[in-house]
Amino acid sequence: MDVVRFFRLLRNSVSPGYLKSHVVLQQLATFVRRFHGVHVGSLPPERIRNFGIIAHVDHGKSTLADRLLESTGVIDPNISNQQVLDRLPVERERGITVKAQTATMFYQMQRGGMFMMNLIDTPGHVDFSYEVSRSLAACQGVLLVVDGQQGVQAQTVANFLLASEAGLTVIPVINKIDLSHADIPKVTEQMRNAFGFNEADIIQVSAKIGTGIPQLLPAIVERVPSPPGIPSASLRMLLFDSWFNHYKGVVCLVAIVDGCVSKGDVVQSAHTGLSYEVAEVGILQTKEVKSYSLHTGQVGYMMMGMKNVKDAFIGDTFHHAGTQITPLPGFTRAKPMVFAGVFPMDSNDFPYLRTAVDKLALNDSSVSVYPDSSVALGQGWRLGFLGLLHMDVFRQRLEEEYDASVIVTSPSVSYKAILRTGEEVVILTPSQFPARHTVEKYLEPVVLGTLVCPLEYLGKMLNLSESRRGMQQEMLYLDETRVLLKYIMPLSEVVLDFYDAVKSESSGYASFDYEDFGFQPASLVKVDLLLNQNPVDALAVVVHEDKAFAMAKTLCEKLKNVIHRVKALRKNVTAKCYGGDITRKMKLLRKQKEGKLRLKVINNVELSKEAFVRIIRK
Amino acid sequence: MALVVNSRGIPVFKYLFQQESSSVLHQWRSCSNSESRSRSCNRLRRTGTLYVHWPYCAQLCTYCNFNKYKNTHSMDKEHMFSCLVKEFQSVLSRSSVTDFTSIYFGGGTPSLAGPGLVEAVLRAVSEHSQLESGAEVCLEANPSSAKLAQLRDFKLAGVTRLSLGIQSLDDTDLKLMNRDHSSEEGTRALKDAISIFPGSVNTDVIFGRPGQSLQKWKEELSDVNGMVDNHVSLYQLTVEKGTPLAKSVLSGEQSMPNEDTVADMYEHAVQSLEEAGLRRYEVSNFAKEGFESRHNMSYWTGCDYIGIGPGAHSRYFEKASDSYSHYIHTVNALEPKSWAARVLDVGDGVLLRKHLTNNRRLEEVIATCLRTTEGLSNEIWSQFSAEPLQLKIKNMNDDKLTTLLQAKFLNLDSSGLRTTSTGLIVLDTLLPDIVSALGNKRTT
Repeated sequence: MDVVRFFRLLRNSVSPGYLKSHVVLQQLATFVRRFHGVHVGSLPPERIRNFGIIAHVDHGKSTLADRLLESTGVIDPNISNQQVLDRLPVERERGITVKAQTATMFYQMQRGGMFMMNLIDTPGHVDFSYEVSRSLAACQGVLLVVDGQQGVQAQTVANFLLASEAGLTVIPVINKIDLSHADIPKVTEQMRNAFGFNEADIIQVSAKIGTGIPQLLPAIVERVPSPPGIPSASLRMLLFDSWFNHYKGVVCLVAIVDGCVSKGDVVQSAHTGLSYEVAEVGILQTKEVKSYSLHTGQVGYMMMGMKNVKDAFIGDTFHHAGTQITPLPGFTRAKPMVFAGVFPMDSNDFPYLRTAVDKLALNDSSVSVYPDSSVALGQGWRLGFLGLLHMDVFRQRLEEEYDASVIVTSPSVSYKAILRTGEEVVILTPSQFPARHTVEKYLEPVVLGTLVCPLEYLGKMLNLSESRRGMQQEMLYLDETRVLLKYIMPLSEVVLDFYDAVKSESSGYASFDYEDFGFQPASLVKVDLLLNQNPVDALAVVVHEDKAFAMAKTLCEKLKNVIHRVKALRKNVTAKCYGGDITRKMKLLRKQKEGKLRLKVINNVELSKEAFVRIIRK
Repeated sequence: MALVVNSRGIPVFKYLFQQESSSVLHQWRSCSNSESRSRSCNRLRRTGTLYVHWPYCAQLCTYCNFNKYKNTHSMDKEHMFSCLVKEFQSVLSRSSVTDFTSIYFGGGTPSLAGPGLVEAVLRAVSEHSQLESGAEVCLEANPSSAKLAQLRDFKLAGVTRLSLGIQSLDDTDLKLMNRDHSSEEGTRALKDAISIFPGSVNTDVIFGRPGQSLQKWKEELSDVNGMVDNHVSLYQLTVEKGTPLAKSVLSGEQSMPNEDTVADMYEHAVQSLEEAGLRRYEVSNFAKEGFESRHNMSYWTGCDYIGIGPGAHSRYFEKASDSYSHYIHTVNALEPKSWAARVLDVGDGVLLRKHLTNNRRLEEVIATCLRTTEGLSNEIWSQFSAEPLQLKIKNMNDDKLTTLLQAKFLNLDSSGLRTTSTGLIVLDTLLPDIVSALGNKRTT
């Protein structure tokens, strides 16, 4: 049975007032879920709204999503719903969204009939900016949520830019208006200064207690345009997310741009050229709900027996096999920005860790995996991440979901070198660093950083940014107390501890975010550390010339403190060693012996694994 | 050697084997002691040494974490003597040791116990076992309790060697360490001791004391050098947990010289003592050729020893009560009263009794032998392994051991493995590697 027919049936049998009530909507939702197979075909694009929610961390994005889902009956408001869309434990714990989730709601306008509202949840962090941009490509509008107390933050700005570059309608929302410290006029002013919104357009809500939520859905219907696709054209769909299901293989989230896809169709990837038979399509509520087909403008999931999530390229266009189409714009491969070595704490755990890394990488195609080995740490990997948060999340998922104990080395970036021969070389590890005389120029990745801070910390932030080789691009006073700064900054400076430095220098009041800004020439050098006159691979680093000395000095100081220096252990030699002392001596010796098993000898200098980790961890 | 099968069908080496193997050690040890060579051919005899612990002191030193108690008037010396004798008899009856090559009275301050202690123990030893002729009978003494007359009495009681703890010639430091004598008393006591036991006096000196500088130590050491006899024991002051010294160092009241300075002090002492003809024969012990302490050497070369008195340790082969015998390590009750009560009750004050495997023994012997300049000799090694030491080292080709040999921390020749003088300074750092390489990989 088709939803609309069901609806007509209901409308004929009950009064319109009754229909509006949540009870009926819930019943409808329950019906849809129970029916496990809806036919959504007869909803034309004009009755579809695809929108996302973007916000700075903790500004209440997921809570707002929960309220929307409750008010349309997708989830039961009587059960305490906590960030339904955040499925991973790490997401709930950190209050961030890593994997974008999507939910379809059916919304009955007071006068104007039924609308299919697809909430396309975006990853909450600009580390995932490519994913964000692809998620946004599936939307026509976004809710830009700003905390009524904290105001505009760096990530708000970055997200807004992404949305407006994508040409989306932005609906400004001030959240948390129930907080006693919320300062609505000030935040309104910031939003006007930073983004040019009219005060009248800003919707004030409290997702926590539900204030203002009823105004949101009508605003979306009214302001966000319907999807522009052509139902009669050949199928084009945008793949904007994917994950791995243990039983069904890769599950792809797609937005149908043109045409229609049904179960049994053979579709082809414009990027890989591979063809698949569609095994199942449907819409997403809190879980997958099968349907017969997906039509123009709709958003849903698709399973097509894809075995490896690496084949599901975010941003790829799928079409019916045999048809000629123009691929959708904006496709690029996920590009790792930050690299780190990952090693098992105990080398015996390597096989187990390999399984864990493989499984996680299977679910996250943006992680690039290169095998690596280190004298001190044994076998492991060099993993490429989209950013620092991505790296942290990956590590946490390894530890939490797979209970693996890992050493993650200090993050680094990938440099490039243009050789005199004109050849371009990518430098992932210091060992790949080409000799200086063969190199025309070195390039390092840079980012465009956005820093928002209270005025009183401006001086400190400027100093900090300059000291990290930042070049100021913009300085904007959001209101009389807050400043927005834009810097082009080497990524290598950012990945080390810039974020921590920003937080500590500003007592936590400043926020920082960045986006990829390509490569720029830099004088780079490789710093080798010698132990007993021999260089140690694992300790070598590539740094900017200006920082080489300081970096080398810090590393040496760290080393000095952790190396088992022979001289430092003189002191016990001259202790007594007679009858009863022998027992004591042997106890000590046995303890040392056990400790020795954990030591690595590098160029005859012993370095405990812990010591080693302390050096290479950030 | 006889391989037999015990009642559970597990093959065991008979006690006879232990007797046999121990005689190898016996023979080797006898080489340096020609008087006893004649006895070494007797396969049923086994030599060992005896340690007697006297736990009382007149005054407690701030750095000491030994098992010691303040002398009280309520303490009954005669009762202690009889308990020591009783314990000696019962341990002796269990142990396979039959002959004693040396007896050492340590403490505490055994000189406070008076000659009666020495008499009682020596009587018991000669009654129940054999005390080799010319055996070393050494007594620890403090300057305050080593008056000329007393020393004579001790000599009459049978003491042949005196170890005098003068520790320092700096009065401030002596006071700080809560020693009960002045430097002058120490100097006089040393003179007296040498006059009574010429050629057989050891001087205990402590260095690396709080506030001590290298220069001050050099001056002090040259004074010490001028007055010592044939033997010096030189100890670095170690801050032991729970001592008053540790508390005052922790609170910042006193500060210890830094490691580098202490290492320099040690190196200087080695040099200056050797210039005076006192050869380093163990990390902390220096003697003129032929005047090394035999008792101490017995510990380092892995001989059996019986310890009696509160807190004393023992290591010996048990007498074969059934089919085979264990090498055991025992530790006595620490507190004198409970020790005495146990002795009266069960005959000995043993609280902990552990079976030492061959491998554990080997580890101990490696660790202690390498502290001596004599090193780990083939003779000692052969007690634990059929494969010659040189061959074993060559065959296993252990990375770390090879490095240590190449770096000249260790020296291997046809007679055994020795620590070089550069190696001796850092031995504690090297030992774990050496022990893991030479000991069996799988320890029980």
